Amino acid sequence: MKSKRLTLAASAVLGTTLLVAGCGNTSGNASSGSNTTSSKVDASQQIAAPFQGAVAGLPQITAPKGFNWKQYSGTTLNMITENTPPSSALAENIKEFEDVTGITVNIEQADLSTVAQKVALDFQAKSDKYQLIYADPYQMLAKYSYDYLDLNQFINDKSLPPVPGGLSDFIQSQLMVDGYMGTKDHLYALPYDTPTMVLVYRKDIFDNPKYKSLFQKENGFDWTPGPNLTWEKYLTIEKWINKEVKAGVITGVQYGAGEQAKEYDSLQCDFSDVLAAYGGDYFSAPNLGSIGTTTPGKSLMDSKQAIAAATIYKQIVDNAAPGSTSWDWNGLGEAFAAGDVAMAPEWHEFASTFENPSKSKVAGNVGYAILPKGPVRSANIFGGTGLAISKYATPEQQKAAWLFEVWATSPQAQYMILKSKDGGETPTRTSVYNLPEIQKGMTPGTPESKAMPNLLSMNATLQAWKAQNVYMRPKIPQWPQVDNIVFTQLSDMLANKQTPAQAMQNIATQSNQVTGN
Amino acid sequence: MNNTAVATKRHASLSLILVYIFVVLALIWAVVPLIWMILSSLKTQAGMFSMPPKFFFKPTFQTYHIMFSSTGHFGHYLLNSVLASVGSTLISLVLGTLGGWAIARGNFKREKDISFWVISTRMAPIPAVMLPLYLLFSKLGLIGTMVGLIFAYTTFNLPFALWIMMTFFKDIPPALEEAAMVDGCTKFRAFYRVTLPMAAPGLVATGILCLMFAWNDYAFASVFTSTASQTVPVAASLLVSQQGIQWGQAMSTGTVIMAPMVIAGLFVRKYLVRGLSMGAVK
Repeated sequence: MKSKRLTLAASAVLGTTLLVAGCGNTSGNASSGSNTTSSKVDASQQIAAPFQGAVAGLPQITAPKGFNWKQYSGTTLNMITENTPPSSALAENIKEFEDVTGITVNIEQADLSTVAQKVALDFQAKSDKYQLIYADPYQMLAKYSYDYLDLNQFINDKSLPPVPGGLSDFIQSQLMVDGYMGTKDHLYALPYDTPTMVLVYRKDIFDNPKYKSLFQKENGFDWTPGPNLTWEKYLTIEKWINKEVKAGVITGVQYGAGEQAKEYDSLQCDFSDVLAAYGGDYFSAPNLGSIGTTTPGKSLMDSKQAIAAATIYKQIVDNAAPGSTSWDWNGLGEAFAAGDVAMAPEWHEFASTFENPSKSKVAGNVGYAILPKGPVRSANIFGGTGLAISKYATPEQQKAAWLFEVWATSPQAQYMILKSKDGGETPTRTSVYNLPEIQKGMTPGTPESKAMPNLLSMNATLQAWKAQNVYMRPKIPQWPQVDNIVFTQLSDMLANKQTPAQAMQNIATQSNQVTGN
Repeated sequence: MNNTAVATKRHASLSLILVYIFVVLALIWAVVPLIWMILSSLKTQAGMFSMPPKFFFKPTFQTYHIMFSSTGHFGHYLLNSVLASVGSTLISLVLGTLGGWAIARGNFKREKDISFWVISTRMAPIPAVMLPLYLLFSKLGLIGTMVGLIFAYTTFNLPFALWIMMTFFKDIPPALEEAAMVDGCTKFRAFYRVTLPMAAPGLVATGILCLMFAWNDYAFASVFTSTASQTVPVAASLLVSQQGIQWGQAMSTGTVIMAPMVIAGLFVRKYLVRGLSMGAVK
């Protein structure tokens, strides 16, 4: 009885969390999970698309009465995407779309830099080689927004299938960063994947009563990761675990923390969490992390907040596992899975690796929390991407691509991606998180959590997605160059070639040169 | 034996020891990573990262099984690699041999400038040629096709083959061709019957190097291929994803990428050494 009450209470808390969480606009369709579409769509004129196996409780893919799903039969579409779990899941299940539409879709996967290079070349050649594009907001959307088709033309065309569940079913902050550039006049992409950084930690270490009480006695605070943890406390815990491991008191790990501080994009992501927590940011213009801009204004990296963030970040990395400066997110993920470190900031979808006993020694012992806070807030960097259509595709290809976009980003497909053995990515749709089965999956030990292990990190991730906790880096065309400056200077700082203040000053000066300020 | 002779002998022995040490170190440097890769491809993921590492273990061929299963598509990537590298090597050898012979035997103005211009195209950094090639291939509809990839590889293999073969032909006395022509051969027949067989080691060495360049290429293959035409190095890069690296697959793929080149090198090593020592590299 007690456990039933607990479950009910937990469900109520979870439900409330989801509603408040900024899993977007939860009014209307999302909470009901009914077969609703955008407010502009007359539901009475819509009929369900002939896709098999629709999941009850999720908005279905629909089209206006009489719509011929086979009208673009024979068209071939090429999609270029990073080799992410959702793209693997879509590739694995593409027959479902091809059977209904008669459209052939070639899904080409590559690493992100190759995708960015190929997209840049394709746009410069004004080629129609790729009709469907994985539009990373920072590498591609901000730089080439004029080369993408405005999806509003399809959304407003009542003769075409609408966005299932409507735009309001997307997590709104993700729709903003993945879909728009500069203004909300044009919608270039629909959210497609959602990686977000959270804190992963070893429950067997942090819940160990002996370790816990020893730490509390010595340091005067509860070390359990969660909303009350600060980066200063994180540093204290990190140092303490290192000390106790050396003394032979703590066993089962080698170091207190690990970081993804390799001289690479991962270093910028890792640092950005601390920077934003301390109230710092890269540039002065507003809305940089949402709609984005081509004029980011002056760099703020020489601010007091940025220097304070850099100072503590250096201490954190100095005390982290020595491999940290050679680890990106993959290296760190492997170290955590091998049981080397007690805690680490990591992308939330690594949960499926950490919870897989064939890949991880720590399966079943992993806890997930939002990242520690600074003087201002907790900041959890978002790294998701949208799916866009090339302007250079022929009109027929563009409409065929829209059908694919509707299917691939629909709640039904997002649910399929979550459950796919090749996928495991977490959905971009509020309605999916409202399903009772998905909510059960967020509790460790349930059959649903075993079937969809990525859900185990979702309680923390939903907290991370709240407006006050999420961090979106600047969406500006110059970001790839700025990113390069940031991780190069930070790397020099970590190698003791310059002080935190010098590193921040150099980032500010060089960023201003890149942006013309 | 006087003191000087003893000192000389000691000095020679010391030099020999140093040479052996250097050779052993070089061997360790070159061979240990390869052996490590092959051993790792036969371990489970947990075994791969166990500390201290195990040298004696029960091998598993699971990653190879996955690679060559119907879902692994590896055979397809392998075939693409073979087609692209062999196709480009054959084109480069035929055109490079004819071009190299023409420049070596030709008597025309600015011969040195022309031959330098040919090799200078090989010196251009890949990003510099990527955009013009992409634009060209895009107009010709060659992006994502095997023909396009063979052409792309030929852009860097042909100048190399032509330059190397030219220096080989320059080392073969023209008098031999002239004697054959006195005996009734046409100029081309003299080349075909007399000069080409003499340049065979060079031809083999050039062919192997062209094959290696194309086989190992990632930069061109990553840009000019699509799903249907992807080669093994591109497929290997897909083993690194957002959710980690498939180490077992990566190790077995690396082993399979390396094996054909090592086997080919062993078969033709005699020609390779002779070719490289008689031609441009000497």
